[in-house]
Amino acid sequence: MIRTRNTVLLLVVASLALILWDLRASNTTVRVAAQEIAAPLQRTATSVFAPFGSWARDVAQFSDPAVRVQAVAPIAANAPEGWATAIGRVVAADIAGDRASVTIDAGSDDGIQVGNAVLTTGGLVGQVAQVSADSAMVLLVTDPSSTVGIRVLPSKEMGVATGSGIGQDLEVAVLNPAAEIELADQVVSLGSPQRNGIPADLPVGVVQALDTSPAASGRNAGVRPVAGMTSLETLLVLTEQS
Amino acid sequence: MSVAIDRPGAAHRPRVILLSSAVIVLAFVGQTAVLPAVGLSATIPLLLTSVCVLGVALGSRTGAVAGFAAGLLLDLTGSGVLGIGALVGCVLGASAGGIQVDRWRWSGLVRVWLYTLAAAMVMTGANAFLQGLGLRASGMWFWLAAGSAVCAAVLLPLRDWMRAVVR
Repeated sequence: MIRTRNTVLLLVVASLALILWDLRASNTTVRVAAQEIAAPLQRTATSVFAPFGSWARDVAQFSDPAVRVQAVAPIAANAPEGWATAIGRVVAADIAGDRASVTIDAGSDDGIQVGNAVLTTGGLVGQVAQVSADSAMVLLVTDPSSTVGIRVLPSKEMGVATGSGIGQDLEVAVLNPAAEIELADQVVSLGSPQRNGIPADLPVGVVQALDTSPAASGRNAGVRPVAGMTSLETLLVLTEQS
Repeated sequence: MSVAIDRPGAAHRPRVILLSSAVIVLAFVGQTAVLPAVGLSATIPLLLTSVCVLGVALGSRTGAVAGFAAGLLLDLTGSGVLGIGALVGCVLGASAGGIQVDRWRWSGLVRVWLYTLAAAMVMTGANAFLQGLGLRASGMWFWLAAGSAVCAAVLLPLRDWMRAVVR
């Protein structure tokens, strides 16, 4: 009984120490190492259970490079020109509550870097948040911690899109309180000056709801992402502008 | 009748370690890769339910260690704060050792379900709080509640088999 109590106490103290460490310092290396171990297991499991779900139905054949290129063709057709790309397959989903991130089976060996834009059919789906040699974690635009600079068309008003959880619309804060925004307006990415960041004018979503009482700090809108977030299969990563 | 396995010599330690490790790895892969692959939500707390059943079957000490390891695995591979899962898993495994079970196959089912559900909700809430994110009403809560009930119903009857394996 005393041994049990001591063990539990020791583990609780260790957990609290880990929490403090994580809140104070970056621990990317440890997470990347864990991801490198877990990703092959997840990839194998996805392959084994491929026949049971639409999400991974063709995973068994997906190791064939030609099949990969064929699967990603509809996405590549809408990708901006002049960018090197990598193709990734979703092999795992994050389980932390209403967080929205997925793991793909392509990593730094394929040229992927943290901050790269990730596309699916229709437009921007997220951004690479963590990379190991052969896998990468993609933070989806619907994740509550995701923020993406956007521009609303045709008014070209700038703002910031924040995720609200998987299955929810993005919350967009437009900087100009007098912005002329209408329902069904297109929302595109603002673009990053970095060569490996999010390029400008990638489709992000469509305005679905508008705050009718403009505040002094700007206008708010609900934006439906152009890309379905719960049925992701093949993703295209824009690795670097050539 | 309550069953405690924390007595010295009651279980073969290498077998306990092997069984616990195998259960954790299988449940982790099942939750993060297999469930989404077959069209179900990865928020179904398969791993936490497995920890709870390990605690019920093998005692508080084993449950606490297994819960710590399982939670740490979730923390390291997910986007949550490192240590939250480990803390919740450890407390869940240790608490599960105190769940009274008898010969009835489904004995303790409701408590396993409630313990797991509470642990998953605390983990989600603590992560959201520490990362400055709000909790929202979403389908996640349905998957948590219904998923943990189904997982508990499927896994709890395995407790006798787990005890037999480690002896």
